[in-house]
Amino acid sequence: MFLFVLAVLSLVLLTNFLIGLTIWFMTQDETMSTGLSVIAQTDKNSIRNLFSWHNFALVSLGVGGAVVCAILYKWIQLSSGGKAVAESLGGHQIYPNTEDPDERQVLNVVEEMALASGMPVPPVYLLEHELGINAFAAGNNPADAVIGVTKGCIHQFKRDELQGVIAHEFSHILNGDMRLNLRLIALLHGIVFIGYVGEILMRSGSRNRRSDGRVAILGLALLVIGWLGTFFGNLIKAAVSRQREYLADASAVQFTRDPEGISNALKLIGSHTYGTEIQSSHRSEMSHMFFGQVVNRMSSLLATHPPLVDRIMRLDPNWDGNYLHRGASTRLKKLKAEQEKAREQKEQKKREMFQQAVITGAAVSAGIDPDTLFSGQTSLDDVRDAIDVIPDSLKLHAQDPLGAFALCCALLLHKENTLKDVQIQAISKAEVAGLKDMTLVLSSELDQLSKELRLPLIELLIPTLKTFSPEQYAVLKRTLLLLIRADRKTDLFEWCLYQLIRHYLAGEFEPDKTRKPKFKEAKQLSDEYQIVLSVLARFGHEDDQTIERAFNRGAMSASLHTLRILPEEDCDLEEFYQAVNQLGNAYPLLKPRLLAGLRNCISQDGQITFIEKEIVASIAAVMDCPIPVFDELLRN
Amino acid sequence: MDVGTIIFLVIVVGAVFYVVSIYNSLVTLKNRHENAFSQIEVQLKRRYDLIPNLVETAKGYMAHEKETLEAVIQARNEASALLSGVAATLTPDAMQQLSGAENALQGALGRMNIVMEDYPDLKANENMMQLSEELTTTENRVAFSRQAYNDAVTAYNTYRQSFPPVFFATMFGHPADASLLEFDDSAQIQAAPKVSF
Repeated sequence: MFLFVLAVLSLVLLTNFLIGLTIWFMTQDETMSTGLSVIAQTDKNSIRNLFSWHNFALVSLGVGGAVVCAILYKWIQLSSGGKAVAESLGGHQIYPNTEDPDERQVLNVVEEMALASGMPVPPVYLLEHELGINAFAAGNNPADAVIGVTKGCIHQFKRDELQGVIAHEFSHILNGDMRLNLRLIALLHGIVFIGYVGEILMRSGSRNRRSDGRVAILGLALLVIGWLGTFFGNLIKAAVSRQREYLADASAVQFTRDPEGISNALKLIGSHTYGTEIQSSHRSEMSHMFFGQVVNRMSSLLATHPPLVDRIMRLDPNWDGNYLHRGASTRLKKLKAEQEKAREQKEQKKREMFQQAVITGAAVSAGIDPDTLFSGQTSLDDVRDAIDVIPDSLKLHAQDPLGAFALCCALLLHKENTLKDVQIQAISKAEVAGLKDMTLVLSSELDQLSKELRLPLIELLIPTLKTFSPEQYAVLKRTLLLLIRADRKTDLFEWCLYQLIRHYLAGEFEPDKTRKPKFKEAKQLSDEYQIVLSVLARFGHEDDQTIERAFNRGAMSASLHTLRILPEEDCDLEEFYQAVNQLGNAYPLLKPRLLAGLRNCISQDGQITFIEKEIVASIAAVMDCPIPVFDELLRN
Repeated sequence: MDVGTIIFLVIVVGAVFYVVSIYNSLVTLKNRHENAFSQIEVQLKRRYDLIPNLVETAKGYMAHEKETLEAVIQARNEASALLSGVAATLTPDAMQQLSGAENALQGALGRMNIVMEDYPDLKANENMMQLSEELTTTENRVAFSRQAYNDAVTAYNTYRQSFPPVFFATMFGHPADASLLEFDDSAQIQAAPKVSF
């Protein structure tokens, strides 16, 4: 950090000096051309004026500000975390439930290396369209780091070679090379920026007659600084990067205790047709984080990686100079035949596995809420029962991204035709191929589904929706909002669906916004609680007496004894939604008490319908409060 | 206050901070190697859970090799029972027993691998391929977690014995070195293999 500040300072000083010098030359020029006799005196004065502290501070401030802004811009752009980098290179995440043997192996190897280096297990990204053998690590600290591998990498390498390569990437993360490079790149951008300003000045100077070239001279000077700075900066960056590569190779051996793996990997790269080349357009910006050289450079001074031969020689001093040759991925061919044979069997197994995944999915991967909310002890059986009733065709659609999207839409479709037309238009606006037709098909299937199963179905969708990319998620969110607003009001079910999906997916896609707890006492929330409880009591119960008893029971358990139930006409849904949002601002310890009140309220008549559960689950989701609300009920 | 006092105070405060940092480093390193130990346990457990699946898959193909399979299962059960014992009481004695059972399991698995060579069907079986990948990774994980444990212990011991922490370590409740993982057949491992013609 100290060196970084020093570098920026020297940059500012240098530019300052240059600008001062140019201006001095310019004024001298002026005095000469006007042909005044008192040259000597003016000259001295002008020099003193020009180098006054005032001018100096002004120029420093200007240049420093501009450079710091440029550096900060680049910094923020680059420090977006490993995930963003991997995605910008065209990678997609390998999920832990993958069935592809190669992908499985990579995941296993990454987990092994995480154990060996004592780091958290990073997500793994696959660059599917890259045939070169390469791998990279991105992210500025171990917590947001990711590891990426190319398709060529996972197909060509044997297990021990893969281990070496992954260990190499781990040591980049562990040694903080990402941070170092981030600083270097940001600083370089600052220098490039000076050159850029110079270029603009030069252009405008040569076009503008009046200032006859003076501005152009300044511009040229800046341009030269920028150019030289960038050149030498790149040299230094490349030299640092090369040293870090040796370090990472050595650390890889330290983690695997096996120099053969990584040296064989390097030898194999030497013989591979595509080498380590990467096609993605972002490659040169990220070149320093890869395992091998990404772009072929003419000059070895600018290479981010040391020559292959040198790296191998350091790992294996007795190397005879022969690269390893491996037939065009024989392993791949064998696997292909294998898979062909087993496809039938696999389909069957997949269905079974999906059943299981669905059960755990509904219970576990949708977050903590659903299982604790609806189950407690008999959790899995309950969820399984509910899921078994859902038709298979719907379940299959729920695991397919498009199907899941369509199911979300279909759940929101109105029965009435005019409204439906508006909604269908909204769906076509999403511009997802096939979505409209799929939605219509699914909506007719959904009509036969009893309403109780809607919540379990939504929970089935969540794991699939989580695999969406951020862009897809944005489209999904937009479309759902359009559908909900088609009739200009939000009914309870629409609200529940949207809140549940938003809540479970926000953790994946939206930056974490933690709410600051505001309310410590239940009394401070009594108005909000009153309306929420009133709506809930009226919703689940028939006659007035039960409604009032349910309300009172809820109010009692939240120890708000003075609350009275609102008359039916005051139970406005809009206010209900706002009130629930307010409840979310309660202190964490207060929330379970509030939710317990809601729970007691809906269980007044001895039976809890799925719809009541749905509402309470959504309220709990909005309140960010995963607690086992239905535990005791199930036990009774 | 004159300059001397100020300098003196600065030095005292600096020394206090330094001692505090020694204390904290000791705590960190100690917890790190203890965590590394529990990682080994996690990985061993994973292996015990995996073996029944492996044997189940192999059974269909290797009806004639019942004995080999049963030996694997038995070794696994013994080691698994010992592991839960060790988790409760971390005594060197129990550790010895566990590594004995581990060795037996290793041997049984090795025999099974050799027998499997005779059954190409089994080797080509998708389940079996998945399982053997799982088994490889588990073996590696056990090895790597042991390695990480030893690394962590070494880091802790080195720090504890170095100067000046060596003066404070006992006072701060770190009286003894942590022990590296040892195997009861370490004498055999270290002996050079004899080859006779």
